[in-house]
Amino acid sequence: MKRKIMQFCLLILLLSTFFISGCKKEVEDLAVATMFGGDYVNVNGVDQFQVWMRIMRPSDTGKQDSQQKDGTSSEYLISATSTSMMEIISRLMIRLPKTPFYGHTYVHVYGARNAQENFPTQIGVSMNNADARGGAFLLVTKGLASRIIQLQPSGTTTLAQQIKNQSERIAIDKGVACGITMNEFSEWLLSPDRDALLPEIEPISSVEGETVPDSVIVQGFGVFREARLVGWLDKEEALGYLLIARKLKDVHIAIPFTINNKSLGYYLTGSKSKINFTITNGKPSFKIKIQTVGLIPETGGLDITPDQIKPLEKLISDKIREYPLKSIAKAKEYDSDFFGLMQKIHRYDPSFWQEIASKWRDTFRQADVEVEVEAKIVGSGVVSKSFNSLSE
Amino acid sequence: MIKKLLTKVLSRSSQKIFKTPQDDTQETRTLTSDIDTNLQILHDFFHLCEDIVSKEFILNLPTSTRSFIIYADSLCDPVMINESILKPIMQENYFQVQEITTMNASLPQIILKRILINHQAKPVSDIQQLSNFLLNGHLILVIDGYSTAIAIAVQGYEERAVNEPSSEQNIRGPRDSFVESLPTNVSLLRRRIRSSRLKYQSMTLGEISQTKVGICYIQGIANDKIVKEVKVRLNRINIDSIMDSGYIEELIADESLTLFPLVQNTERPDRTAASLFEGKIAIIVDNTPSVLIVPCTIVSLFQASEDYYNNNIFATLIRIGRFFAINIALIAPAITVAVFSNNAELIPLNFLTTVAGARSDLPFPISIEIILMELTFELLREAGVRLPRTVGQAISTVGGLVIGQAAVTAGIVSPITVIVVSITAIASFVFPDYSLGTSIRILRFVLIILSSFLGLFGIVAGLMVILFHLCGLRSFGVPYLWPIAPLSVRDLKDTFVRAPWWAMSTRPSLTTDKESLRQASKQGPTKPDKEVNDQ
Amino acid sequence: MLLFMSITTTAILFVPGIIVQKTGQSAWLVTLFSSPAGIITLLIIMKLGQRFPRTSLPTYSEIILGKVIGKFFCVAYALFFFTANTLIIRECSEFLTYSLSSGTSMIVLNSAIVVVAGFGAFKGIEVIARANQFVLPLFIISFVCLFGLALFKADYERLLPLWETGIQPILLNSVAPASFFGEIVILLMLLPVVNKPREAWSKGLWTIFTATAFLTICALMIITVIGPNLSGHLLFPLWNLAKSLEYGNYIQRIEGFIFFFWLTGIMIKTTLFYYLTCFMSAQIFGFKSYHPIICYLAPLQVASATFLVSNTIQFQNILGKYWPPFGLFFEIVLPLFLLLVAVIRKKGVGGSIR
Repeated sequence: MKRKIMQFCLLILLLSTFFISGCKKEVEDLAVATMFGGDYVNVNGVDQFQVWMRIMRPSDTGKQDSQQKDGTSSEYLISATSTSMMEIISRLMIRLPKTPFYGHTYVHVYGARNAQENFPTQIGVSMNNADARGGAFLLVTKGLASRIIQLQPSGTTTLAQQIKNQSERIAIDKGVACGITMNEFSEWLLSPDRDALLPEIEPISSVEGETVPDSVIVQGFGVFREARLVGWLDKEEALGYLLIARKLKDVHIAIPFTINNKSLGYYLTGSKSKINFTITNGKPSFKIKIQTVGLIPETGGLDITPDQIKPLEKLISDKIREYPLKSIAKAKEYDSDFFGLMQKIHRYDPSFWQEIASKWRDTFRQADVEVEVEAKIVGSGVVSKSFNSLSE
Repeated sequence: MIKKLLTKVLSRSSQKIFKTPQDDTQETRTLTSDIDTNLQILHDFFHLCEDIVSKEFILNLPTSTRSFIIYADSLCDPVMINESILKPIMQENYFQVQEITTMNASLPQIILKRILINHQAKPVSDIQQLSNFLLNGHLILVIDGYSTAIAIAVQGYEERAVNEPSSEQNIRGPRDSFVESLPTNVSLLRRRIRSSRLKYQSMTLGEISQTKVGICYIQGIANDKIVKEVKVRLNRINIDSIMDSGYIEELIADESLTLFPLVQNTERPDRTAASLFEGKIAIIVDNTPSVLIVPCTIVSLFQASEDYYNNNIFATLIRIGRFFAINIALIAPAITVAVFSNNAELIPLNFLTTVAGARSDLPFPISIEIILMELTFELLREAGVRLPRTVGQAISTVGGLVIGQAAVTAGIVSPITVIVVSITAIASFVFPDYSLGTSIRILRFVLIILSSFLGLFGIVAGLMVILFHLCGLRSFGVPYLWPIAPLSVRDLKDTFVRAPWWAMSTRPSLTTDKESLRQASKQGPTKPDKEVNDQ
Repeated sequence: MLLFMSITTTAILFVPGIIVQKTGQSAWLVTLFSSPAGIITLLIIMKLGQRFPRTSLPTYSEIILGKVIGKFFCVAYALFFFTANTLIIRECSEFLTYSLSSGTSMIVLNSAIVVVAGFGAFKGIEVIARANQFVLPLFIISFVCLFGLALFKADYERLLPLWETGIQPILLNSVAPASFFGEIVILLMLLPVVNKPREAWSKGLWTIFTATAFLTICALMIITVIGPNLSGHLLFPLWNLAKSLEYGNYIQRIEGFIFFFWLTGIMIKTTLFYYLTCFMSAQIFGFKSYHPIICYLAPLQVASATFLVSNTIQFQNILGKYWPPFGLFFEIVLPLFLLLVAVIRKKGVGGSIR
């Protein structure tokens, strides 16, 4: 009797091992998608979605290192095209040898046409995925996302990692763009009082001057109005947006200006902005005050003395003031309030907002926006006397 | 309900009334006055026990009284027999003893009170009692014409010397450990608690083995109800032999179908003495160095006596480290299985690719791998216990490393499995108590299986079941998870941290109801007012 | 403490999603307004307890209302607990399916939960209370960590404007969380076994306040970090919050850590409700012990949790629209009714005739 019980238990144990190994998604069975690209293309006369994904190839620890540096890429691409997103996903999955896993998809790139016409569908599907992370970065590109996603970076990081780094730190460090996460973007999309924008990504060659792109650059913004892409901001307008809407910390933005035909550079290390508004006769007028802090490392041969600081600061402030004005002009041109100015009205003066809620974009267009910049020079770097005296 | 089923199944065989064969045949018999009859009775009683020897001799009396001694050769010290018993008895000149002529006292009484040079001697006439004495290392002196014999204690058998404990070692603190002899063990305790409040009561358990069992407690500190309960439970034991305190542990514990030890056992007298001061009760069993301490809570299983001797901050950190270790030992393999097989979202990306790459050619899913490696390590551990000491060290070290490495190279398991299993094994050795370690080992397997089915949720479910089980356990009426649940903040200072001695001024409140203050308050370190060198 | 645990765990999961949808950024005020419901319930129950010390609901409902109606009353309550439990189990498995265990089927999850809850219920209320004491600090610590991390990412301006939609929607929507608070009605059953009934009043108040505070902070966090518009669209905003908190490369994936403790909290709540159902049924039908009922109820519970509600959308609907009135009816109206009848018929201590 005892033996029978033992045999029975053993049988159960064996059966359970089959059960265990059956239906779970083991780590080595995962196809980790690191990057996602969505396009809207015209294939055979029919407008269709096209989706590209970069899948991670698991590294073999047993192989020698030299083999990896050979250039065998650590990622591979898959893509599919269809009129409906769900069908695309199923078509993609057929191609995959393993189960797709989106928990590490940190970068989503969208082609311009896609963003112009079909964004809500795409975003909805992306967010609905259980593995999707709210902190993923979204970017738009002027052409097709497939162009971006097919690039092979020559650095040691993967493309997705590079883009992630650029969005997170490098772009804002240089004042040309900033990373927008999926959560943030969705929140903007769904807000009734503001518009969204996404950083722009373009292919570029790492050696300047070459025509074949092998890397990407995150620079500029794509502006949305309601849920459609309507325009682009270039480098300077992007800086304007950053100065108005974001608090910058620990950045290194170079702002060149000239005095007496000598070019100097103002290195902006931080900025703060405050937006105030007053309503006069049903028309709001905004007053944006920007305070910046920075250094002047490139003095163009001039030695900075204390009494020269004030006029320099004035000069710099004027120069900086150009940027936000440019982007505000662009915002009015595109009829999209991506700064959140009208949102400020909504928050601080809700009764007024109720009046203009149906036509807030017109109100924005007519609103006066004044920008005041106060630049501070903190120092001139470690080198206090310039070397240029040598050349004179 | 399951418990009822199991107990029914297990106890079906023991439905008969338990009786030792000797009970049937023996009525209460006493010695007679005739020495030959007595000799015959005793020889029949100990028939075929060739280590029970008897010697006849004649006393130096006018009537030439015969007498004989009977003793167990294996239990008695011959020198003591010769020097302190035979010599005075046989050489004594009885005529000189006044009591014979004048007071006409019985000879055994005179021998007992005047002639014997021995510290422990009693008169005895009942055969059963006599055999008990004899088997306890006494020598029985029977004199012709008297039905009262004298039982004289002459124990002298080999016992192990007191040396370091084999399983609970420490760096600082006393290093003596209990041995197999009950009197020596009691002496080790008495030396530490030189007070008349340390009470020692003994009883004999085991129908045939007649093992001596002693209960120690400090009167006034220990809860009287618990003392009474212990005695009741010990008296209830009706078994034929007690080989080790483990038998008693299972028979008196509150619940037997639990993996967690409800009775603490230790080999160290300092630990026992400290527990006595906290109001616990020690049960010492002859022939085994494991002393039982009741009642037992899970927190006391985490406390090592070294914590109290070392620096208190260090001890606190080590204790916190122990809590982490138990978590690691219990759930680390299960978490690995869950994370790598079900919930891969929880792994950072670089790690994910490395692991996926390393595992892509392996035959087994990770749950099977972990179970295999764990089983191998368990086998190694068990083997290491049985191996002779010289060979054991080498095999266990070599076994662990080599088998692990070979398995990785052969492509059976992945390196991550080996790492996880080794860390778990190391963490499971951190507990001061061995029985808790065994429970953790078993539970680990259960959790691995659960997590392979249900992932992280399976681990949570398993842990909840364990938690419910633990919360329902009681050890002699004391909740097992005290003082964490039923919360007693005052006593928390000895669980996760070890408060400095001057702060531990109260005893644990659940096991003692009186005398809660154990030291004067405000005994913290104080500095003298002036520096020594200042004048 | 048990009460705190029971209310906060499930409330945190679902309620914010529902309220923020309707009231936007004033959602945190909604939770404040729902606490009075809990206080009222507590008051009624305390009064009932004072009138009938040390007796449990079935007994004194029979005394008040007479045998037949009393039994009927109790059956209704048992059903209430049963449905509440079903909803909780369903909530739990929905959450699990969505978040981490997406591969497992609903039945397996439900059975696992019911098995654990059954085991706990088997052990009795004291064990449940002790397990709760063990788990509660861990639960609180994990949430405090979450709050702390969320503080860095919070954008306080999202809370404005405060009273945008007016006070009416706020009040209307406070009905939903109120039903969660009213789960204090379980105190009805537990009062006879509480050690110090006198302290129950102050402890109950404490529980309500802390639960309110907790829920309010949760709502605040969700609004400030995720934003009022997005959180209304999400099913589990708190889960999304936990996922999005990442700092640098090292503090990542904290949702696993939080998930762990959250789940233990939910388990305890399920166990408690399961125990109450079985206990109550045993008392109604006069069984000596409630242990057998646990086994009979288990498959029923699994089946109802899996099949009664066919999909998530329906479930959300139920939680938002149908359950609050139903719950409140049982939590406030019926005890009030009981109390009034007791007062009128002068039963119990404090009345004159007995």
